[in-house]
Amino acid sequence: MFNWPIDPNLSVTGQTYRQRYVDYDPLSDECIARGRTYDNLIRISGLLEEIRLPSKEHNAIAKKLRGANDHSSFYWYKGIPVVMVEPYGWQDYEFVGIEYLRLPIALSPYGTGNGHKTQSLLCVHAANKIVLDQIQEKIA
Amino acid sequence: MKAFTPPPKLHDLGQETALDRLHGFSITGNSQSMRQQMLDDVFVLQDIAILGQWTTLYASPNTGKTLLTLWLLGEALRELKVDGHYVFYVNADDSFKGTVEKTELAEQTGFHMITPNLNGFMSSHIPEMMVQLAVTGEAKGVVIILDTLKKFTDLMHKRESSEFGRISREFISAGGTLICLAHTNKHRASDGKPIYGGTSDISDDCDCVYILDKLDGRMFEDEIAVEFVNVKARGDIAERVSFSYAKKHGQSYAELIDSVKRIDHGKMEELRLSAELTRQLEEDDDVIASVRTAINQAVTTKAAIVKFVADETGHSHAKVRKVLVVRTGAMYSLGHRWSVEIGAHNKSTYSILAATEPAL
Repeated sequence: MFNWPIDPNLSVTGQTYRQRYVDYDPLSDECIARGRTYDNLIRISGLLEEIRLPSKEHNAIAKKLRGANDHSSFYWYKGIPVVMVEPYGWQDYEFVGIEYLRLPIALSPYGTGNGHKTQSLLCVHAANKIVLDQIQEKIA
Repeated sequence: MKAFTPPPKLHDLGQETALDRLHGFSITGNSQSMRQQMLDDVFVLQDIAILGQWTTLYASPNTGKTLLTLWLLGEALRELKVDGHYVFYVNADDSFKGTVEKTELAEQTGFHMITPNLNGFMSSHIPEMMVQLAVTGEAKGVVIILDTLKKFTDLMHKRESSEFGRISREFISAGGTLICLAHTNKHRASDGKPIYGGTSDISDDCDCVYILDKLDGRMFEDEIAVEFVNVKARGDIAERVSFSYAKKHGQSYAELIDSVKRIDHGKMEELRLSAELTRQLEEDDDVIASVRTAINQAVTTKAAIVKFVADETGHSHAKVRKVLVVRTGAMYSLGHRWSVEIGAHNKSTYSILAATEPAL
């Protein structure tokens, strides 16, 4: 047993959003549109993608997003963890201890996948709701 | 002849020796992972409390330590310097109304409020939780604010304070942040400055200590000035920081917290001088009153005033003469209370100075 805990946090480098959801078919209309929308979202919101895994701060949010945890990607907003999930459908969700912001269609990157529409939700711990307010202000 | 067979050593038997254990404790070689865990110098309370340290704020009751701590915390959270999801304010020194008001504030600002006897929490859980957070490696980034410390350990009891210090250090070493609010001693030091209450163990063990003191200097109506004076530091923190707040009858806690402002160094110096002047005027109060009586009775020369006042108050001639000199001038706001005219044969004639501003 180590007397100093080895922190496995952020020890593996994962793929970026673009690598996962755009680059697999970069010349298709769907992926071109997705890549363009994603770039706009990042530019306007000021989100910084976290690709190192596992991130315990992001996982703490993601594990509370049962039922909506699809196409998830991790971000930082000025040091505060933000998780974006893009589930199919347009239903509302209620997550315990989590607040979310539904992105407008023009800034929802995943869009339509396999002929089904998705929605894009930015999720934070309820205590960090101010982050969503600030992002909302930027995209309004 | 009997052959000598040495007794088998522990390491020969494949067992762990004391030296092996000592080597096991060495952190040499772990610096890279430790550096990754190391927290940047981020202020949880701007200029006062750094993330990853144990800071204790001492103040007498009603100084505004809870108010100013909550205001400073709100400032850090609004600027997103700290993740509110990992901030736990343990409010163990409040009425139910106060708890409700502060919980509303926590909901608006974005941090967690914990109160004894609500949701199953008890003050005794805190040391236990700090140990567990340290052991499981979850302490990193967690900020615990204890208001007030005496609800969690007996500050007058050396062994208890020392044990609390040991637990807190484990929590801090694992990356946690602890901010404790505590009371000063009801007696002040000989220089009039407040001193921490209890044994020295808490202030010895923590990283940073501030003592808060209300300034008696003149502010705007209802406004109170408080100065944080650093007495122990580890890291780049401010030596003195000052704030003001306005306390009015019937105001809500939200209004009170909205009234908090930082005071710059120049303004604080002005207030400190004003406070010192007020103190000196109070100290010389009976001499000043007696000098006024003398002048009103047409006793206006220096020697006659000194004799009159010394007889009336019982103070020595030297003391009266000193006050007479110090309070002579033309600026009422600087503490002058009479002016003097030098006439023929160097004769001094005193006259009372009219108050041009509200009396200090």
